[in-house]
Amino acid sequence: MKKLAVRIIAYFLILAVLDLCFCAAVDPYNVMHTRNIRDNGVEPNKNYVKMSYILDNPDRFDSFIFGSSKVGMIHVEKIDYERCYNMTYSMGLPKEHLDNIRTLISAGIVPERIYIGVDVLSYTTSPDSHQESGLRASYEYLKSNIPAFLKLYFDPAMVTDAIFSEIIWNKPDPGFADRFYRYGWNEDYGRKTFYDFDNAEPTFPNTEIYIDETIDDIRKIAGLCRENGVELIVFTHPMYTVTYQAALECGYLEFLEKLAAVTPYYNFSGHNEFNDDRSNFLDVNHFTAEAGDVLINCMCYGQRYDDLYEKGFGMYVTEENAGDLIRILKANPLP
Amino acid sequence: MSFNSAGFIVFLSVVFAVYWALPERYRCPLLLAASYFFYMNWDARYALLLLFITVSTFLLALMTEKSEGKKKKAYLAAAVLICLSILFVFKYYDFFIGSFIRAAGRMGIVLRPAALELLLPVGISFYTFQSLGYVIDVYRGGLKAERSFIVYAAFVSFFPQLVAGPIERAENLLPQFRSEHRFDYDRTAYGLKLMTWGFFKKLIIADYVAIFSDRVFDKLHSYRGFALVLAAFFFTVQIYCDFSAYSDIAKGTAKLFGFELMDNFRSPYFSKSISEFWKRWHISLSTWFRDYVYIPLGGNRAGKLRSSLNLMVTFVLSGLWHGANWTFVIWGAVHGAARAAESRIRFMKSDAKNLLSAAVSRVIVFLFVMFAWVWFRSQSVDDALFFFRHMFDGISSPVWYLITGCSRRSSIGIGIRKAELIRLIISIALLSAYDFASLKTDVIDWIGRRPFAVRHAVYLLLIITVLMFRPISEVEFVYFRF
Repeated sequence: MKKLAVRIIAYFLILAVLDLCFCAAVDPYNVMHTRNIRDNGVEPNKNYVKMSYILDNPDRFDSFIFGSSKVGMIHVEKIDYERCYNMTYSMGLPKEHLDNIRTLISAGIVPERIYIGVDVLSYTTSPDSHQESGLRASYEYLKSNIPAFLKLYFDPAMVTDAIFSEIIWNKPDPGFADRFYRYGWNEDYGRKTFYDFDNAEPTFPNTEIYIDETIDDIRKIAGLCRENGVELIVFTHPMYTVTYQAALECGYLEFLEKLAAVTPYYNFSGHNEFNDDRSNFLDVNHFTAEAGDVLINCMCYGQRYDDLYEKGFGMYVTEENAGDLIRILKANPLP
Repeated sequence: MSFNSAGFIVFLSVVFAVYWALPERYRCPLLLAASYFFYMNWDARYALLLLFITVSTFLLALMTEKSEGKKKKAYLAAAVLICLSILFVFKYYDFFIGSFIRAAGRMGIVLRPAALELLLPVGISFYTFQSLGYVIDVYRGGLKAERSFIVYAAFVSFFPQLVAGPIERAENLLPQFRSEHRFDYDRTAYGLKLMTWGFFKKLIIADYVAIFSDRVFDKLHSYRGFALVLAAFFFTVQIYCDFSAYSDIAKGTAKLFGFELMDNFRSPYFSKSISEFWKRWHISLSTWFRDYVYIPLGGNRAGKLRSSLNLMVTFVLSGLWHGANWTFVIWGAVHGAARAAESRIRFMKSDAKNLLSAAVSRVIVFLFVMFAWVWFRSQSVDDALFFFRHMFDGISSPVWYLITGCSRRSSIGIGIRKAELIRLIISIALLSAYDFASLKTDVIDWIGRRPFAVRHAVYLLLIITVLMFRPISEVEFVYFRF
């Protein structure tokens, strides 16, 4: 038995050392390369990398935009009165934003302003589902759970799969790291897509609805911002027609109504000429960088697009006028 | 809890450590408890079914042994009835009732569907046959009925082979629960090596070729020509690697506890005849059918015609054992017909002596087995017929036939990348080399006799390959469906 135990331990140690070296060197999600991120073709775990980066550089930015990949289209450098960083990451959720903001504040990073983009995705995805994903596991979860970190990032099969499916085919973008650290956004202007809008369907998971839990998370974010003197600006994303249609079927108006009760917000969703226009979208989920500028103009420079405003686009919604928005949205049904 | 899950590795490590730490008298109860825990991981309710079959066959075997004449036969009949009724209700009722309703519908009689739609208990076909075999052996007088319920229950539910075999014979396995087990380093190491080879076959070959065979067989009507032939080839590799891997892991696991399970596969794709194939493929099932169905029917002692009929009946039942679908019945019938023809026609017999004729025989048998698997894998008889009607579409331009069959650009191609093709060729070549060498020698033992550095480099390389190239998500073993 002793001989067996010795051999098993020896094998285990050799394999563990090889695994650690291999996985750390390749590191598809860049969680071990937060200070020198590489474009390897695999989408990094942006929540982890960006949070690590901000904590390493506490004075670099004074405001942040949180949200899913949709806010990744917002070019923060267009806001010229602040040093804003785009914290976008895949399927970002309010619960994770709350944890991130708490972490930042407890590390002494108290921003002047926080923007949070929300939509139907915010309340149709459980944050727990992100814990199984190397791409989406949050900074706080990984920092507090070393076994989960090891499981997600030291699985040699995952790394090998990433090598053969992405890394060896990738042509690295030389400006990737600079853009990532300077701004944090995902998409540049003028990206051409050949997306088939006619046959596309919304891709948010709509099997479970977490409206109350999500509203509660946003309430906590609002409270935290109030306590620390942070200006909170919440906004809803522009949604392409089919996504908006699906959102309505998942209690989107209820979400908007409840959202107004906990924090004011800018509304950019609804059925209107902007959201009907395919040139404003890369696909049914993501608006373009150009469309992102429209959001900045409304929220940061007070610009008003009158024709669209009548349909609720760019409207600043509070507890008092939330009923007006719902009425406007209902008065502009989808065809 | 499947063999290819992380949970199983933890479970096995714990049971292994506790087993050897315990005094001998507690080991059998430990294995029994561990086996029920293992089984209840799938669906705890069905442990009651396993328990019911265990209790019934245990008692009926005791009563059979003590009785004589008609009473003895009645007890055997009761055991057969209980085992087969349970199997029928859970596995075949919906199939037969559905077939009956469809047949009645063709005659203009409209009947309301009355399907039970029960979830098939994992391993039911295996443990009912193992229990039934035990009672029959006791009835025949070749085996003494087991007096200890704990020992018998451990024999029926022994976790390494509970859900997908080998279907063990009581005369082989039961005494091992009674005998004293001493830890043996060499046997344990051999078991671990066999398990590693099993994991290689399952995770690196079977699960990988399954991507391509599933792609085609799940949407069969979208494909034509060589893509169909390639899918049949991949399934041929998949089913062998998947099932033999399970048997290797089961055998290896049993060795860790000092148990020896029977061989279930012996390089079947190197057979030179169909009869040889069935001596090498799923040996525990084919010998079960030989001993408990074919021979009682008269075997080959009752004239040529009767012997052929016996073969057909045995193979059709063996096909039906695999699943409740006409495709399995036809698969069994195809093999039965080939086996019957082979026993009558001289040139098909496995007497190929020289290398060339042996190679030709092996290729012919392999191709026959490969195309027979089409019946086994197809979801319906129509699908299988579609396959055979369209497998040569485009053959008039042989080069294009081959290229479009593999191509990713062709809509009817199976879509293999060059890197994937290289990986497949290497892994299948390795498997073939192992199996070919296994015809003459025990490869694991042979590697074990190489110098220290060489053999440990081989083991490490194999483990690293499995860890690095295994699929990210778990893929169920094919024979769990049976």
